[in-house]
Amino acid sequence: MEQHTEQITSAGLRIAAVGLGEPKHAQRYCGSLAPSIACYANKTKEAYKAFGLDRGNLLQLMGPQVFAAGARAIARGYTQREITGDALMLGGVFVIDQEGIIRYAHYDAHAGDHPDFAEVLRAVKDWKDARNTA
Amino acid sequence: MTKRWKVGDRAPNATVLDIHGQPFELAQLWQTGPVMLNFLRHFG
Repeated sequence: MEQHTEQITSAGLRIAAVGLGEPKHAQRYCGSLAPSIACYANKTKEAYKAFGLDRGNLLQLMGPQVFAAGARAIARGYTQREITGDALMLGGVFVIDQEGIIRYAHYDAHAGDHPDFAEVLRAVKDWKDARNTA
Repeated sequence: MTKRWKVGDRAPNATVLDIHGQPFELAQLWQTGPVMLNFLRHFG
């Protein structure tokens, strides 16, 4: 995510991240891995549930797509650190406008899944174009 | 199965903790402008 920060902020979005764990884990993540992102901790999973995120099944967590994504991440220099929270939980990404309306939603299909950031930016552009012509 | 949200829905709110351990309402994030909210599988 951090490598896409410039594109995302250029599109007029601020970036925030919620992770499973304690505030100290959020502080470490923001401090070292994602310094430009506002981080929050949610050990109880309340926020995940509110946004419709759920735990993955065996295929979603250990299927071939997950290993392929892991290999790509390692090739980019990423190394897995300690897993905090619930290792079975799947993530997601949402773009929300100032009125609180969801303009983009992505639910991870498996543990190695991430949104296509070009798709995120297209969704933001489409939303802004529609707003400007309304 | 929890409810999945789609484009055009109003985003739900929830309370999380900031890096200092203080409660924080997620809705505060978008009150000042659009935000990309990422739910991570884990920190690390």
